[in-house]
Amino acid sequence: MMTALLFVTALGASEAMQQAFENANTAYQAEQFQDAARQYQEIVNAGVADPVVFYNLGNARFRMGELGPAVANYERALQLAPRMRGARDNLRYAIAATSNRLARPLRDSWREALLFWDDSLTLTETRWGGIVLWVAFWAVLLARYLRRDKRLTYAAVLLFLAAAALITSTYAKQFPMQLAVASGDSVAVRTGTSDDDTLRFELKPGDRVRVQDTRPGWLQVSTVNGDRGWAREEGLILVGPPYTAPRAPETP
Amino acid sequence: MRASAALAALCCLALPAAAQPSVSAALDRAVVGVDQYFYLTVTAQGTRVSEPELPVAPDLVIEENAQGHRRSMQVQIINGRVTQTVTNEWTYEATFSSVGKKEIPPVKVQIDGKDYLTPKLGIEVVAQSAIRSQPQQRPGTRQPSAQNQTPPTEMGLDDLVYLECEIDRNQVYQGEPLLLTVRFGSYWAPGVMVRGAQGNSISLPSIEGCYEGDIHRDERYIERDGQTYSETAFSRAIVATRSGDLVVPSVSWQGRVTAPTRFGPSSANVEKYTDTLTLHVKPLPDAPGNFSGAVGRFSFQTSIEPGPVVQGAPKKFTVLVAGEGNADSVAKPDFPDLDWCHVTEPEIQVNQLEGPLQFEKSFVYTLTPSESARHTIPSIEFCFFSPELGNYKTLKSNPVEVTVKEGSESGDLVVVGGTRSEQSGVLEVLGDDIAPIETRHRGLSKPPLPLAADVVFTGVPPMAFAACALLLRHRRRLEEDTGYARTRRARSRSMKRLRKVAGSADPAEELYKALTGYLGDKLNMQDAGLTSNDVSKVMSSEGFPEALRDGYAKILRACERHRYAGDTLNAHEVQALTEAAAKAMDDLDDALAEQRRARA
Repeated sequence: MMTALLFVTALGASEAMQQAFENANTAYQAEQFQDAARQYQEIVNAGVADPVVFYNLGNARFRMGELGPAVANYERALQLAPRMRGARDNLRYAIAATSNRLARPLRDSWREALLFWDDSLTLTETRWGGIVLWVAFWAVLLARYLRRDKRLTYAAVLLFLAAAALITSTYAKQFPMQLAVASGDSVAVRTGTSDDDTLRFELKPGDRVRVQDTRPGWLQVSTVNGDRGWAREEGLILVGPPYTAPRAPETP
Repeated sequence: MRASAALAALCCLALPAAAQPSVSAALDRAVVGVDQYFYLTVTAQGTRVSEPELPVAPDLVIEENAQGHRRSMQVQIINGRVTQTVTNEWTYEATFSSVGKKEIPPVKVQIDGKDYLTPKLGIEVVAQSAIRSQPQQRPGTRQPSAQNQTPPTEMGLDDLVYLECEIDRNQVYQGEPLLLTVRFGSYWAPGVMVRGAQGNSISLPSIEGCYEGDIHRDERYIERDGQTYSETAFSRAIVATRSGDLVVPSVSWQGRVTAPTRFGPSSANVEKYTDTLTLHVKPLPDAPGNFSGAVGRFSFQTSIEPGPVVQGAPKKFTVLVAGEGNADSVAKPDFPDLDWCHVTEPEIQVNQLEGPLQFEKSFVYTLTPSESARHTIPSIEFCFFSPELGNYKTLKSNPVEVTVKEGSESGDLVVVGGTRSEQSGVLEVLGDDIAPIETRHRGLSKPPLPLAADVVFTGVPPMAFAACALLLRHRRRLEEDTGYARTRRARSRSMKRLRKVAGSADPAEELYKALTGYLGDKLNMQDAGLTSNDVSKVMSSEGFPEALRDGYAKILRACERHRYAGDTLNAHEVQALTEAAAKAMDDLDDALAEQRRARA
């Protein structure tokens, strides 16, 4: 009875989300981008982490002229669905519209070296692939226990390596490089965590940087070119996960 | 009464009247470098004066603790009226951190309970390089000890100041810079005051046919003929734009000079003039095709921003020209065409170094590689006219080897740099607009599973494997190891027999078999034909406790008695013996477990 009640509640919430998604789409098509962005954002705030919602939200933000939030949402969509063609194209378009046109920072060298193959796989694919191979490995190991056969030994080794690769990839996707996107008009990056520290360089809306360290109110960021410094947290949107609500740029 | 009134009137007269309150502020200079100290002096007159409230302005830093606080009191008696003037003077160190014409807001001082504001002050803040030649010490610390004497009697007031104009060369090539310097000095001694008609500045001569650079001002103390002078040197780079003889006009200074003499202060109006100078400008020989237009002494180098070069990531490539000459005449170098990357127009930056002629000019190109491979940026040439050689000289940079790594967005690389219009004409890689939203979508997904789920998923298969392996091992042992199989099955077999005892035709026989069978299975021994004495011996040899042995043998002996006597056990006896047998088997299990533990 209780399970049935929970199921019905979840079903109702899901229907409500679907309705909100459709309303947001309608607002977008009526060129009410602000309204559409608000509704997409509400879906995200309700705990939905769907690449299509992030993609549509990115579009709405782009139409509103907010390059930073647009880039951040396209990046989120691509984190969840790396093969999503529309998100890739629109991210390219948005980056081309930024002032600095900075490329995305590179991943750690160990990730680049070990996980060069997993760019186009989603977290779900690597996770379930890893689980299936892991179960298969133990099954083959059990079969080998029952029947000593060299072929089973080879199969077990191969399955173990494949499962380990997919599990490592899953881990890397669950804890990706922490990316942030500049959202303020001009985000000052300084040598230290004080406004009195020397200005190193400035980020423009849509510039993507890697977050390397945090201090209260400050993030240590680095660009793809290796420039590094501290920027105020409020000027940057953390891409996630977790997919927190991006801050709207301050209006004068 | 009249005496009291007279005394009061006398007291009133004797009480000093405070002077009219007033405040003022002054700066020790009109031009200052970025982050260079200058002094702000606040003066307030009044009886009860509070500390000034320092103003706040963008980029202005005023040290809160005053460098000096002077308090002086002056009492004047005029026509029997006593006037007391208390003057407070605070001096603060201050700096500006950005260039431009700056304003220091009014300073608030409270005098006798009322607020008074000083007027706003203006100061020009220039780049450090523009004033590098100025003394870098904080004002007030750089002065030499003044000559504690009046000027020598043989020196007239006219001799207390001097004005000189010079150029560092009389012959130059067209386009070659030279330095024009005008020096004005005044005798440095207490009481000597020099006030120019134009304040502290001097108009530098304008030379026809020349390009003139910015004026640099340098203040210092020098010694001339054994006397100390405060000298201000005004210098500027000049570049002849045509050949022939050019005339540097005379420079003049008018002002008033006051100096102490034995008979009191003496002052006079003084005028100073410099001679005109002639500059011979030689034409340049025929220029080669790659001549950059620069004339002077230069060095030239190229560098690429450190760090990995990544496909699609902009990288700065700097061409640096440094030397002595006219920075404006150094044109951007010809950058070679590179088909593997996009190159922007350079960002040009000029840094004036020491003196007006030394400079560094950098041309920063943004390169955005579009192909990941090993590439070479060919050498770049810089041709200039060298006055020492009297000829043209070409400097070449070394080729730069670049390894471009594949970018994270290699499949969809955006070639960046340049203007949008340039991109659309040359490197069209994007559509006209963003792709539309996706509307057909059902089943909005929740965030991915948490890490705990992964731990469960990875932990379950090995645990299942371990369970299966144990089960298989158990079954295999049951098949292959008789002792193990008998031990594992002993309990169930004996319990089954005990349950049959009550319904059996010969309960004593059945009970006997159950007990000896259990012992036989547990110890993996032949149980058929075992007597109570045999059981006692066996249990004794196995080291079981005496109580267990006796209990076990007692039940067996009771069964033997009934078997051999031929009588039948009644229901109560059967139940009592069955319960005792079950307990004996439990005790046997416990004893065996104890033995296993002891062995372990």
